[in-house]
Amino acid sequence: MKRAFLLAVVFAACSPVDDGQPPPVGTSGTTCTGDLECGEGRHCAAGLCAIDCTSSKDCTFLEPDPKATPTLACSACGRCLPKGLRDDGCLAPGDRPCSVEADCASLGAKWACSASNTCAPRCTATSGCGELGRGFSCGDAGVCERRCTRDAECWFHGFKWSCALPAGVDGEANARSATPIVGTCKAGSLSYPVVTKTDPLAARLAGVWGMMLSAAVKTNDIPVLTSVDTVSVSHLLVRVDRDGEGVRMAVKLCTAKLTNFELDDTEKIQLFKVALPDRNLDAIDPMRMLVAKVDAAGFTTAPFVDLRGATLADPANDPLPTYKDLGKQRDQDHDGFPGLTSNVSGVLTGNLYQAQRLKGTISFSVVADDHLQGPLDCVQDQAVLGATNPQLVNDSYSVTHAQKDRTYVRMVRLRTEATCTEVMRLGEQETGWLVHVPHYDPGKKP
Amino acid sequence: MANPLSTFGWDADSAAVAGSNLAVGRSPGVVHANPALLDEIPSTFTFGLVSYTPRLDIQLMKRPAGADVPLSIYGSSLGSQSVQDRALPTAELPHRRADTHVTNGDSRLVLGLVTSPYKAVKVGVLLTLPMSGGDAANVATRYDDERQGTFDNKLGFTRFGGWNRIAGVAFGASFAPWDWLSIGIGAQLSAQAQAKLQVYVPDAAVQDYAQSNLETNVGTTWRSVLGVRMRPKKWLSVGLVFRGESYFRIDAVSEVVLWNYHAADPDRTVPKRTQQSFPVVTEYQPQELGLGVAGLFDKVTVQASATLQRWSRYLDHHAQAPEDAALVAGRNIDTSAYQFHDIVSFAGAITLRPVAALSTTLGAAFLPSPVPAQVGRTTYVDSNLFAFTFGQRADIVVSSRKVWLSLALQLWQMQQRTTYKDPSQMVDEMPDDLRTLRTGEKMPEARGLQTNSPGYPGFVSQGTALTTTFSIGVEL
Repeated sequence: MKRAFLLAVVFAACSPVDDGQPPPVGTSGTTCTGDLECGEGRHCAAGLCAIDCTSSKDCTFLEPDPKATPTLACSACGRCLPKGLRDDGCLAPGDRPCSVEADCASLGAKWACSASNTCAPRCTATSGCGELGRGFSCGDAGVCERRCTRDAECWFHGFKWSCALPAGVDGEANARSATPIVGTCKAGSLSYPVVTKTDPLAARLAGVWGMMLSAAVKTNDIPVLTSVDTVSVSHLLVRVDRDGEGVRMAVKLCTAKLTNFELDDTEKIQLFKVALPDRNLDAIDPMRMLVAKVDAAGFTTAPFVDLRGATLADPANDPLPTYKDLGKQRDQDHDGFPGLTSNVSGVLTGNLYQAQRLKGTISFSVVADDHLQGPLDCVQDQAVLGATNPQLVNDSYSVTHAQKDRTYVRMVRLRTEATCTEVMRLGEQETGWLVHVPHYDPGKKP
Repeated sequence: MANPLSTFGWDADSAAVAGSNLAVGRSPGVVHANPALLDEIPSTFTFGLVSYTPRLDIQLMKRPAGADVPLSIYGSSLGSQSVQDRALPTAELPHRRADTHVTNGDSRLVLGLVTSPYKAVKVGVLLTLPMSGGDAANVATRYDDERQGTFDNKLGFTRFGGWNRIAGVAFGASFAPWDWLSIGIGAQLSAQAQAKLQVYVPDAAVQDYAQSNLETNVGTTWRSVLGVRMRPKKWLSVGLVFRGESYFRIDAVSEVVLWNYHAADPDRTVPKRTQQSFPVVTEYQPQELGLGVAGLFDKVTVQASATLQRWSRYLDHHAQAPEDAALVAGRNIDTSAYQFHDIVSFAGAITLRPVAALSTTLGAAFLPSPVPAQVGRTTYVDSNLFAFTFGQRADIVVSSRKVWLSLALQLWQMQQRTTYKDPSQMVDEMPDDLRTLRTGEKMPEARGLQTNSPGYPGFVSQGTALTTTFSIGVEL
């Protein structure tokens, strides 16, 4: 028997190896060197982006006693950690929460805890806050802050933010003032009740959404070019709240890009290019939309008006001010020039001061509880209020483009804490629900 | 795999010669080996016990980071796609991935009977019953790919070590028109069943209540065995045997009716009934063609056999051919390399009879593995098998009846086999192009291969099995 056993061992020693390759390493996951490379909700573990949890409930798998009171919580970077531990290395430095200076110490001596309770670099001028991106300026305390004159400016950072003005300052009046008092954005809380598929659609739609709004116009009587076909692609952050059987929407403009196009979608040489500076975008009032009753088969908003650069008694119907009559203009971006300022380049260059108006309704189709889209039926007009280049001061006018399918809206549900930065990033991807395509496709699926 | 006695031998004499008894035999075990040899067996009743103690292991290699399916798969666009298979997050699998250790031995009672109803005709029957446990059959099935992660999350042996506890019956008959020729036929019981489960779910939201009826039909099928034994010389015997392919097949169908659930039809109300079919195959035994030669001398018998086994037609537990199971949707993989090989197994033995009443046998067998390299999706675990056998038999007379006592020991060695998986040939259960369902963002954790396949990234299999077989025969 012993000999047989030895023989068996000898045979076993000549063991075959299938494939002959060592175990694959690095064939799975995205490589990283730090949490920040993996984005919010994820972290870098063993050189790969990882996510251990999406909510604290997921940490049950790691609890020593799953039936006992949970001791672990899902961190901002998707780790299950004992409750109370900080783990925010995946967040951009300016998004890391803090309550004291020491919370930001890991970022370096330059960083302090701002009045908004987020880490921020020290500064002497607003130009020093550029690394935090839009929405920050140098505050009185020498720290970059989310400064504001009204709530809508803070919404760039998400709808949980609001503008804290000095005591005694009326928010409404301050928002309309030509010399508003500056306050600081403060983070509050925003949450929506958990809904199920059996809840009414109005309840299910409540939440924070991203919107892409494509609006095409033909602008006539432009010097040199005569007419230009232009599409404005805006990305917006939308808060949807239930209102009985309907919903209310607060729509914050995050960014907008104007692009000239050819009717057959071939590439257009941009001879008349208009860019909207951040100061312009940040000053635009949020749009308010109402829907009396939502229905899974589709629903339409009540007519809404987006008026910019003017103050009118009847915003929907009064004529816009003109460079010949600036009486009702509004220096909305507080730059000392009428209306809103945009930058023109191409065959004509200069700063252009305008008043603009969009009146319309959106007929939404419910693609899924998380995806909406629909055509925008609108009338757009604009008036030149002045310009640094006299050639830009003219009687050009815009009409809604005849190719109606270029004017439409798409919305996708985001997390409650979503920011304008997130919406803009979704719009810049190669594909996605918020990526602009020239023509509306009613059959499009996520 | 099938009844382990097909490998070990149905009685001590068959076990002692490592299954090489195709040309000469001394016990009712030839009903399985070559029924033509019944001609040489006197009318006999035998009682036997076969015990086996395996020590078989499959050790899994450590997983590389990023290979698990993360919890964020629930928030991915996979949820909005119409796909057949959706992986559970690895953390939510019912069982953690673990090594496999087959250590549970078993014993089987074997009864044998050979009788001669007519001159030159012999009839034999073998019956085997599992000894431990009260059930006559205990059958378990498994997936041999990433789907098994949802179940016990282990690998299992395909051919040797994956034995079910099931009763077996074999019949045989021989006819010897001349001394030099015997012809045998036989059959081994197999079975097939149909099961239809009808379910009505009054409230789809209440998942612990349903009304159901079960309808089953169980039928028998037989594995045919044909054999020939020729003895051109007094000292030379040649045997040839054919055994058909067989397996136990269950065609299960479930028909589910939900309350107020209708087909999408604009003009008519058509209740929707959902049917799901899941065929199950166990106890697979390949078609076999065996040739045996024996030299019969005064005090020595030498025998050897070679058996062609057609494993290329193998069906796994879910009635899939391995080359079909290895397919990966969306990838152009030549899966012909995953088809099992036809193999030729070899066995041989020498029996010494220093005195007429005592004989000692030494034997050996080699069964190459039919399973090709499992570097892709599937993980059928098997390796080459070596067996070394020893037997001792005593023929005595008790109360003027001839009685024999026979004991056999077998040591089986499964050769160590190491497998490294090729990620490009596996199912990526979290495809790289997935995006977050709500925001359409890329998911860095989806890059590369994520799989619940317990066999990824590789494994090592090996082991031994020791069998002890004891038989008592009484000449009738």
